[in-house]
Amino acid sequence: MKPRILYFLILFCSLSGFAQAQSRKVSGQVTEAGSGQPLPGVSVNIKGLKTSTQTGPDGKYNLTIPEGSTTLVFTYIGYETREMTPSSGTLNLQLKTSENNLNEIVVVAYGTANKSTYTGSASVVNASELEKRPVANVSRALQGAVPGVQSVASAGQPGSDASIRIRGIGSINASSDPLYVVDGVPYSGNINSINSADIASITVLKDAAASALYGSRGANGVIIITTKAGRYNSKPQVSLSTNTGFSQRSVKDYEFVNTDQYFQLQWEALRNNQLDQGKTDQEAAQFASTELVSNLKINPYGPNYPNPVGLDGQLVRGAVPLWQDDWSKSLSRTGIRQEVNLGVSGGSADSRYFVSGGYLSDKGFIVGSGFRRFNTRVNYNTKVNKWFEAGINVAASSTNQDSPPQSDSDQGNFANFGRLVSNIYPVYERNADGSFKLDAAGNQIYDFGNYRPSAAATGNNLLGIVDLNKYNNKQDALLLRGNLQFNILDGLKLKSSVNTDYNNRNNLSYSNPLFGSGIANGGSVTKGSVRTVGYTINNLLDYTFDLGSAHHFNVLGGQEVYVLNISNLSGSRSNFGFDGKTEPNAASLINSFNGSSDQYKLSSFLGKLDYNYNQRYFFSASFRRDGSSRFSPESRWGNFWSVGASWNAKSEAFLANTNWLNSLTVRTSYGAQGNDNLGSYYAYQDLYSIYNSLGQAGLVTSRLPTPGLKWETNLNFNAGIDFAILNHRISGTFEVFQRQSKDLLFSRPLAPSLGFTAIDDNIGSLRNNGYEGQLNFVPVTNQNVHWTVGLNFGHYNNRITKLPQKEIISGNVGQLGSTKKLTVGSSVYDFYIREWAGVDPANGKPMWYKDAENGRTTTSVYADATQYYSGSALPDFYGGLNSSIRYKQFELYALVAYNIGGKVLDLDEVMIMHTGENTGRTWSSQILDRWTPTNTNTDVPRLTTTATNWNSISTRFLYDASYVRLKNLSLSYSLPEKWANQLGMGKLRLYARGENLLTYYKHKGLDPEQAVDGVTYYRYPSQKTYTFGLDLSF
Amino acid sequence: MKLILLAAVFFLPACKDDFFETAPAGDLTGTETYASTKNIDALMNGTLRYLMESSTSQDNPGLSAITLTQEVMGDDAIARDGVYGFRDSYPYRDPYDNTTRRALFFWSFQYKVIDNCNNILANIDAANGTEDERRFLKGQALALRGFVYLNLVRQYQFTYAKDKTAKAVPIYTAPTSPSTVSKPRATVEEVYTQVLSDLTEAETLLNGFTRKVKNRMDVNVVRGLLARTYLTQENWAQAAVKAAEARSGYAIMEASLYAQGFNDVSNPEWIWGHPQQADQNLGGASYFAYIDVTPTTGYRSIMPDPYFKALFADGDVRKTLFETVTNPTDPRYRWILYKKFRNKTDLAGHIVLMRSSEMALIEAESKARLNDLPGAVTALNELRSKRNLQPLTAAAFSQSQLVEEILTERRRELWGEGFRLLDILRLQQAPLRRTATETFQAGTTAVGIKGHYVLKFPNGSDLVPNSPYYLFSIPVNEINTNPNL
Repeated sequence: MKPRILYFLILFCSLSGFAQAQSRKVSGQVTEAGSGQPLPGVSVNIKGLKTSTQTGPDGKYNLTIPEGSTTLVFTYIGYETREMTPSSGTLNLQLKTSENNLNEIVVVAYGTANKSTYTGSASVVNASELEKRPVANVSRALQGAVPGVQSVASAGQPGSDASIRIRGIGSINASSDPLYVVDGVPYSGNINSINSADIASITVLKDAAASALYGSRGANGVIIITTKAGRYNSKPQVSLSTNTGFSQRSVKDYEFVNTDQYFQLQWEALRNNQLDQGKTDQEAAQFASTELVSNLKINPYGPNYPNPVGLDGQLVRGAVPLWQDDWSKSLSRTGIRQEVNLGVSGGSADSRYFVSGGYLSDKGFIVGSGFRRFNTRVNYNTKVNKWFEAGINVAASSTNQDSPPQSDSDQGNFANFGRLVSNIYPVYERNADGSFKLDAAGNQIYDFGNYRPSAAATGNNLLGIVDLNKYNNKQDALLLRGNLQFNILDGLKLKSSVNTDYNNRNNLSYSNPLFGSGIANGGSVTKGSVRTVGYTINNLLDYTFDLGSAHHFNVLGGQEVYVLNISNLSGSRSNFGFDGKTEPNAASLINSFNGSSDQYKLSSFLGKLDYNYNQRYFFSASFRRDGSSRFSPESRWGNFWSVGASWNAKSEAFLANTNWLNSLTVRTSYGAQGNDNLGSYYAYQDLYSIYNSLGQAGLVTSRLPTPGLKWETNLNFNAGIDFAILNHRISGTFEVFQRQSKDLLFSRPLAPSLGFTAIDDNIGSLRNNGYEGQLNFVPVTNQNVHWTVGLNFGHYNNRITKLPQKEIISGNVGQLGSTKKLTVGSSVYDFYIREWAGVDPANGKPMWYKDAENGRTTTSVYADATQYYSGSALPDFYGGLNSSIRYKQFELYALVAYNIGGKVLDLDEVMIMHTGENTGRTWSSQILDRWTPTNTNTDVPRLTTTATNWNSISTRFLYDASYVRLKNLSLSYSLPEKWANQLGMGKLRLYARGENLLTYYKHKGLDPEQAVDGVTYYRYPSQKTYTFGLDLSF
Repeated sequence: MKLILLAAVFFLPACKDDFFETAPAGDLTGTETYASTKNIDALMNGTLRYLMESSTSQDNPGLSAITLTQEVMGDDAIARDGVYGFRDSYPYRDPYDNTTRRALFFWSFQYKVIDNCNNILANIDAANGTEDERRFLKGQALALRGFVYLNLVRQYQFTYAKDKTAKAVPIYTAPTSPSTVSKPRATVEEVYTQVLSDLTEAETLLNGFTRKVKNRMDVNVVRGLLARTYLTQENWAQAAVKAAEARSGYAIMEASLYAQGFNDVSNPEWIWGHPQQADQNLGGASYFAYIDVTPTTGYRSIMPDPYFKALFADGDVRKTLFETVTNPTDPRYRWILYKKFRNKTDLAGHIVLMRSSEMALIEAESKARLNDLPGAVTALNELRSKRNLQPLTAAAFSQSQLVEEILTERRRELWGEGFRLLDILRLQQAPLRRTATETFQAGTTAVGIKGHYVLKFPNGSDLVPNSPYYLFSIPVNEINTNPNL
């Protein structure tokens, strides 16, 4: 068919429609409720027909309504939809910004939907909420903002991700992370390369009806990010926002003992160990007094006190420490944050655009950390003619992250260093009399402490190397979304899109040759690059049609292909010959050179049907068939589907006149989604790792064959109700769900004597039952005051319903052992650890419970103690509370995130709870309460320099994880419009914002936001940020 | 038409199987691996690297983790206080504790080596290559498997002579597949039978094998392992024969070479050793990082007992390697350094696994036990002469005195190479740990030299022979996942 013929055909159709009826003209203006600003680009539809128009730059529209039609529908993303029946030729109206609720157009899988009649479960976060959050990574903005979404920001490092869990834990060994979709297509890049200022809305898809169209990747929920677009028929609008701020640690660290206490305690540990070796009191005390300084390798009391602690275990009279340094403080600073965003948007009758640029710099409160990002975006759409539309979104970003080590027990961890090196050791070199040693230029010299014991980071001073070493990641990302739309017939569209996510990450890690760990090998550098390119190409046919006046259909069908290419290159060298050179070229010894690549391919067919009867009963069904390269040819293809229904009760005649009820929708859905993110791209082959040795080819076994392995499937049931009453003053949503995972991927543990620790297997089932809801109130709204309150909450329980074997020990934490056990009936995150039985009052030894023939008894041998279920890491209840009060030109907004119930295993505290065996390591002030013959009723054991295992994993360090955190508080002032206009601006707003301002948490010293599994691991704690800024537009 | 054309351009023919074909860049599949002897040789090469260099934490540097653990659990070596590495083995806390990461490592990495050997043995016959290539690879796999089982049986149960019916460790001789059932512990006797069967077959197969790199096991290495096996079984006659055969062609090094740092496989008396390279070693957490105490930084944690120093006669080249640290600002202050091991400048010191001196000592001990005192003394003198010591005469010794002298010579010669705990177990003795009393003069004051600081077991009891504290424990993960154990 020739395009011109098609053109005429389309023209003919619309002309014939024209000719059939007696019609009337309606015109008017659409403005924003509150501000009265004209709204350009609002789509105006005649209900039940395809005919539509849009408002112009001045918000005006005109339209011809055919005979038989009466109602106009005004829709605009981010605003409530309104239906009006014009009584005359003029219809002016106001649209309210939607308060995150009903009658809102939301972006969903492969299209948009009206929230009030949508059959699936979706929650939306709009730009107005996002812009209040000074976070470099949008994944962090979801905490407390969306019901049913757990967002755990497990590190304070600027630019790092939060872990997102939507409706519980769907997997054990495969990923539980949701799928990110950016501008309609699954995103393969790093979420921190997206500027939150470019985002128009985030939709979180939670149930099968909403996310089954994403097939084998949708099981953990989907987060759809839609970027801003221009509007047709609108004048160019420029918006500029800039803010600056500073950041600090959000919660105080643990309390440590001081130097005097430290010396007396270590004396006691030495003395006790001598007693244990069979020495007399006198011998033991003598040994402790004379060996103490030699043991700690430092004497802060000066040469006048060679043995600062006497035979009585007390400081010798007159001994005073000559310095009192603070390692934690030395590695902290006030971080500085700056952000500037500029956006220009507008459109003509047949094209629209949004262009933006942004800059962000966020220096963390830990020295050496920071994140910088430059980004730019162009979103452009055009209607070439009646039957052809095209659009392209291009976004580029460049980020630069300085991320010193911060999440391990090793001594290079900046977040943990102050908990390794006790404050008895000086930060700068001191003379014996306590005065600073100075170099030739008169500067203080960092004390690298080659004399310090291993437990106190021998030869390391992170403050001293922070300016010399580098821990840098650079990332360049390019996102392309190109789409074409052919309007073949009235209601029938072919949409094709070609999309690319390109991401190149370059990391450089450099240790200088002069100080710290680099001395041994003359300094070292590792430089690497990872190039990730994801392509998605799809063709979709979308047909909207009616049968009769009451039966409305939308059918979508098509295919999609996804290809991901990953290519890695990295190498390291050591032995630098020159100062100040940090790149591999300057180092003389090649230690490694590695490169690899991976490919992942997905081919899909998908279809969807939406039907509604008279805008009253809604029905949806979707289907997707995916083939994945991750699996063997036999188990490659899988089918995913959903069905959903909703009932718009308010549209029933019997409720039409119930004025207090504004809307009421009941909906339900069921379906199956998949999770193919099993970690391996080759999840069926028997593999032998290439492990070359001594210049010759080498191999070693790495994976057992699993030809039958396939994805996990989630079966999701959802039922929900949405309502609004009393003129929308109270509205809400309540949903219950059941999420059942079957064919669960297990790394089924094998006996280590088999030579493999685990084999991948699809055995087992898991169930999450839960509910969640959201309530919004508008207690006051009038000319001057607009006050809203929103509360959201979520709850789920997680149960294992089937396992391949009776029990599986899991949750290994580094070198510390397991923390969980999986059994049928338990949850994935139930702690299964030894139970602390206190300190034996008779001898000060730690005790744990163990099973014995008649009940339980205690033991002082850790290995003999029995492990017991000891509560779950999952919260009972979590969510957020937000409130905004607008008084005239002022607006005050607060967001509180809360987490009630659940346990956290504090392994950070373990580090500083040794009994003297970790010589020189920081000591918690809790140790002051250790067992002594006169202090027998305590839960801190007797000190000794031989390890007792007492600070191994047990319920001693398990704490309630409940907390409440004031995530965000912001106060803004908008200049009255006429003043702003006098300054040549459309809008001007000034604001002050704070992030993580207050935290209410019982266990002091720990940051309550840790990890979903409830186990801490020496992470960079969250930061408190204050920002000040202004937004203006003209 | 254009429209249809356009649509056709975008139509994605992507549902055939070849579309999905992807292959990992860093791995071979089993079919690829077992296609040729060349690839199976790579599997042997990688397995040897795995044996020596796999590591789960800084104090687990491959096989050397076991070597060093067996040193500090004896009496001649001490884990220096306040430094990381082997500090919990010294007071017998691990590997006795089956919950520790090290207990898991010791067990898992050795069984992975066994499974790799089993894979080679199961697939070698069908591989493309020459008959000799297949024979030599089979011999190497058997030799390595025998070596690991010999280690396991001596680590996880008391010595053969104490109770050969005691339960030791599971034996696997077929590669693990998804359906493999985990095995029960075999008796000490059964494990020795397996070791002897593997090594004996390997000895035949490796006849004629000339290795290119000294980490490969050839017939001399196999005979040395047989000598170790027979020694532990107290089969003195066979031990003496195999020890003599093993060291044939490997002359005991000259005294001057002894002082050069034990870091290169080119040493004429190294029968088996693992060369390392700058791009392939565990750097600051390697064998040398712990045993070489001479650098200015690093862990430097394995120290000699002052009583060990006292075992050496004046003039012994080995005695020249002791040095007491008298500088009070040095973190090793008041410790004695034993400078037997010194790393290479690129941190890639080679690791010794078998020397002809050990074989001479096995020969000497076996002959002495067989009451062939002249034969024993001859073998012993071969070693003594290369350490600048006067030869002994058989007439000066009773049988037990000579055995005692040879055992002391083992301590003097093999310090740091992992023999001490194995000898204590074999001889069913207790380590002798005493508080140091030696001093050095600093000006006018006598300063105490540091020595043993843990003299008792964790439960407060005295060190006794055949204590379970000397045994490695089967890790809790194995107990949890192996119902047949």
